[in-house]
Amino acid sequence: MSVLNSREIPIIITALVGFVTLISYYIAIPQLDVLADVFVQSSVIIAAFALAFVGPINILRFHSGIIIKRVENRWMFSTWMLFVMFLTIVLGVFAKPFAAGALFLQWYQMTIMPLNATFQSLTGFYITAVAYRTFKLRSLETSVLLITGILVMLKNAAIGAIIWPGFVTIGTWIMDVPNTAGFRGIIISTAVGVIAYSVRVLLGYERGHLGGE
Amino acid sequence: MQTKQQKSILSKVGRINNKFVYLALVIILCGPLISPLGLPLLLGEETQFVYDYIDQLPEGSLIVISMDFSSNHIEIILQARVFLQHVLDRPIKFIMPSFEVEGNMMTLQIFNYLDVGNNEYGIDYVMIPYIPGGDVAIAAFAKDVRGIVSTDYYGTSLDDLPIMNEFQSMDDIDFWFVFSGPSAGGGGIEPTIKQIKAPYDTPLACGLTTVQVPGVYPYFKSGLIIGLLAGQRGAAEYELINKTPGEAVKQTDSLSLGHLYVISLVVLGNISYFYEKSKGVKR
Repeated sequence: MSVLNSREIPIIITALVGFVTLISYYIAIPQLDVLADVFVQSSVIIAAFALAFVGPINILRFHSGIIIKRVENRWMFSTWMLFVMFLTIVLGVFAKPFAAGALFLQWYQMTIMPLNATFQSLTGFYITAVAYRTFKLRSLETSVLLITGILVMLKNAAIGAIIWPGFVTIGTWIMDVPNTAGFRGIIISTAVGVIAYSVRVLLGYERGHLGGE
Repeated sequence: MQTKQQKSILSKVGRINNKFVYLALVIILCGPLISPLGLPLLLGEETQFVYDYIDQLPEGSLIVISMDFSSNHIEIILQARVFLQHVLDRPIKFIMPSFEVEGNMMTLQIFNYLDVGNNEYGIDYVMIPYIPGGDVAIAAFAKDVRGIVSTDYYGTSLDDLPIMNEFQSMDDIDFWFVFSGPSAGGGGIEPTIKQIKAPYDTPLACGLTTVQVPGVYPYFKSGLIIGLLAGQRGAAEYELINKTPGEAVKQTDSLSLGHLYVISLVVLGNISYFYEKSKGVKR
C-alpha cells in the first residue's frame, strides 16, 4: 500500500500536533512553545483556506449538478445562487473592498443585512403561532417547562414588574438556582465528554475526522 | 361539521386563524413604536456591573472589544451602539478584532451611528480584520497577534499604528468584551472564556442574544464573567444607565406587549385544550 494512502501518517500528525500544543500549555519549554505557536498559527491559515475554498467549491459542485441535470423547480434557484456567490466574490476580492464606500460594503448593507433581519423577524411570527398551537399542559414535565418559561418571560418583560413585582423575584430565582444548576451540569458533562473524545483522537482511536471508511 | 362543543367560544379561542394571530402581533409590536407607553424598566445587576467596570477603568486603559456577531443579531447591534459610544466617551483605548465572518461589516455599520469625538483611528481605536478558526484564532490573537495578522482592516501595517505598539502581550489588556452571537464556528463567549479567561485571567464580559442568556448565566454566577448584556433588554438597560435613551428603550414597550401577547395566546390555547378534553372532543 502506498505510504501516502496510509492512515497512520495523519494519525501521527494529529497526535504530534495535539500533544505538543497540550504540553506547551502546562509546561514552559521555550522550544516547545515555539513549535506550538507554529501549529496554532498554521491552524488559522488552514481555517482560512477551508473557508475561502472548500465551502465555495462544495457549493459550486452541488449546485452545478442540479443545473446540469435541470432538476425541476430547483435549477433556476441554483443558477441564481451561483450568480450571487460569484458576484459577491468578485466585489470582495477585486472591487477595493476596504475603501470607504466600497461596493462590497454597499452590497452587504443593501442585501444581506435586510434579508437577515427579515428572516430573523419571521422567526417571531413562527414562534408565536407554534406557542399558541403546541404549548399545552399535557404532562407534568411540559407543565413545569411552560410555567417556568412564562415566569422568566414575565421577569424579562418590563410589564411583568408592573403587573406584580413578585414576577421579577421568582424569575431571578429561576435563573439563579435551577437554570444555573442545570446548565452547570450540562457544561461540565459536555466538557468531560469533549476531553474523553479528544484523548481518543490524540491516541488514534477515533478516526472519524480522517474521512473515508 | 362542527360539534356543539367545537362551536363553543371556549373551543374557538384555541382555533383562531393564524392570519388574525399575526395581524394582532403586528399591531401590538408596531403600536408602541408609534406611540411609546414609557413603561418603567428595572435595571439588572448584570448590566450595571458591565457599565460600572467600563466607567471605573483608568485613563489610558487598553481593552479588546471582540465583534463576534452577524447582521441577524439585532439585539447585539443595539447593545454595540450604546456600549461603543460609552467607551468612545471615556479616555480609554480599544482594539476590535472579529472572529466571526460578518464582524467587520457590522463594526463599520455601527460606527455610522456613533460620535467618535476626539478619538483618532490608529491611536485610540483600531479594527483588526476577521480571523478564522474560532478557538485557535482567539488563542493565536492573544498569544501573538502579529503572527496571524500583519495589517489592520484597512491594510495599514500594525507597526504603523500607535495603539498596536501598546499591545505586546495579554498583560497589556485590561478588559475583554465580546459581542457574541449564537453561531456555530467562529468566536463567541465560550471560546473566549476558554482561551482568554482561563489562561490569562483577563476580566471578561459579554453581550448576548436573549436565547443565549440561560446557557451563559452560570459563567456570570460563578464569576468567570463580570457581567453581561442580555439581549434587547440589556441594551435598553445600558442606555438608561448611560443616560442616553435611544432605540432599545423605545423598543422595550413593544417587547413587553409582545411577551404579554404570547403568554395570553398560550393561556387561551390551554383553556381551549382543557375544555375540549373535558368534553371528549378529539382535535
